[in-house]
Amino acid sequence: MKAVLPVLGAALVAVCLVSLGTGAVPIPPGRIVAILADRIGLDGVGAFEPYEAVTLTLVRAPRVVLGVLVGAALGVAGAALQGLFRNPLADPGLIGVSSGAALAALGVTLAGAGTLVGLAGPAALALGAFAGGLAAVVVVYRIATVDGETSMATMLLAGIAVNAVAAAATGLFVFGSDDQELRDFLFWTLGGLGGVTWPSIAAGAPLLLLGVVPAFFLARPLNALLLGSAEARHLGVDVDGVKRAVVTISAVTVGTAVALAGIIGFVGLVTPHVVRMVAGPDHRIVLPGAALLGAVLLVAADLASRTVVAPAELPVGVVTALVGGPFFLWLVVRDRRRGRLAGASSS
Amino acid sequence: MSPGLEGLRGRSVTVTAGGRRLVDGVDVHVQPGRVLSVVGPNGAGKSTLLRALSGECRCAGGDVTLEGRALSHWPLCDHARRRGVLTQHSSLTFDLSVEAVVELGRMPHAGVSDAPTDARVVSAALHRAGAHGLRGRSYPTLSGGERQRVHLARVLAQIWTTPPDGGRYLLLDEPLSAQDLGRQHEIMGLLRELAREGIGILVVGHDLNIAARYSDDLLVLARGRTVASGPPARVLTPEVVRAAFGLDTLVTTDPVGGTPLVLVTGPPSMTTTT
Repeated sequence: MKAVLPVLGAALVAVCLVSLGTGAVPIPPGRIVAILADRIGLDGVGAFEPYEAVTLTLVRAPRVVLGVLVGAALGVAGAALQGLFRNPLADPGLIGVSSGAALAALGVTLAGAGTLVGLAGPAALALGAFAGGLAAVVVVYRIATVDGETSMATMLLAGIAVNAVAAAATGLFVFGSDDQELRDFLFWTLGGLGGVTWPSIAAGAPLLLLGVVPAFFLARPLNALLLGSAEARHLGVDVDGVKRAVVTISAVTVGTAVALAGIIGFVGLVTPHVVRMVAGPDHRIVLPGAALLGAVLLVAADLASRTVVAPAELPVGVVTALVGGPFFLWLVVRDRRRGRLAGASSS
Repeated sequence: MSPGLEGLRGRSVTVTAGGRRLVDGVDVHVQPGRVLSVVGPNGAGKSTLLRALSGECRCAGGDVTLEGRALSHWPLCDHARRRGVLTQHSSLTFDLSVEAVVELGRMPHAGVSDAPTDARVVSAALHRAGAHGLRGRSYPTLSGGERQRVHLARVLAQIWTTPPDGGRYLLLDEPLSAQDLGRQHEIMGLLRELAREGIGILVVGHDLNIAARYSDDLLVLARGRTVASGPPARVLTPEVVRAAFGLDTLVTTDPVGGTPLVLVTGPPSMTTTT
């Protein structure tokens, strides 16, 4: 089922072109290509108006690029965590990464990161969120690991506790905050790609790639882990190393994603599921597939969030949850009838 | 067979858990070209001993060496190319195909082997494990016995080729538990064949007569300790069986293979079970 990757790649290009061309200033695909060609120094590909170029390069392109990066990061983190725990319900949101990252990002904002100049502000935000996500996941992971065996049930319980504590701390921040800070808070919890600039992408992209790219090298070890940790160890897999790598990767990617776009639910949970349903549980397909599908979903959700109630904008997290929630329920009901979850039995 | 090889050896292996000695000072030697059966009542420490030999659990005392080198000193992949482990229960629940499961056995050969070789080995391993007819099936739809044979094929694929500087070893935890009578003999016959090819085999089992017929050596465990070890003809005596299982038996000679045949004569006395 390798065909799924080219199909998803084509879908990504298509949804990006639609998103770049849609809005208050419509830009046809031919002109999009002409503008992009002009930007990289190719003249005469086609004609376009200067205001189109400005809209495209300063408003829409950053959103689309951010949507691709964050969507891919969330998809990969979800796929790697689900593989690690051999449980299709694992999700960065469920084990505290997202809320820890959001809390830290909020803290960094309140501490005055906005007053930093140039790249320092976004970079401080991204690093802070990464640290917050990592701290949360390390706490959860430590609690759930006894004698080298990590219990999925304990991990989820610890995740619930960490989420509750992070939510309480966030609430405390919010309790004593002014209007602007309340807006920031809403942004962190509901997510959004709006207002993104090239400098903040430049600050976040390396961290996102640092998380996403190594994940693809974990495909075979994660496949072996499907058999169980003992079997994977017998096959020569450094199981503890893989665990640490996946946990770090999810903290890096999700932490940075939260810093750039707030908490965006369901992309990490749903995309690996869908890829597994179509192409099976081989991580050599699931990891890149979830990255591509995550990117497609987030760019599409962002497109919906800014067009459905235009000129106003819905938070993108609301869109992904509104679409993702019912879709996930449908998955659960369907697989319950078939007696198994997508790619996994109901055990 | 390579007479120069030291094999997989455990010296006074002791494994503790929760303050209990699950395995207590057991000596065990898996030699290239020989089949060693480990038998004993439930809770005797058979599986724990196998886990200690595979490196899965750490010894509280004693040591385990492969070709004279401590297990912890072996690079993971190098170790994995030399010894396969068939565990009793696999938690695999994902919808992998039979071939994909067996192909996982080729993991330690990544970078050494190529895709066509792997595909050939997967197919041949399925053949040898009697699982060729399961090709194309989805793993979760298989019966317990079929799953067991697919995993057997996977560990065969794992140690398919002999490393230039050492032997190959197979550790199997109750590979017959879900097999019908015919398959039980088929698999034990396969283990004999593999031993002839130089593989050192340790197999945990419950059937004393099957163990006697197909093994070069027996190791009888009870309550974590060695009750007896050596060739079946010497080990399988009514005294040993009573000491291990609390059963009165008559030991005669199997008219088919000339190996010891254990017949239970008396009811079990509950005094020796824990």
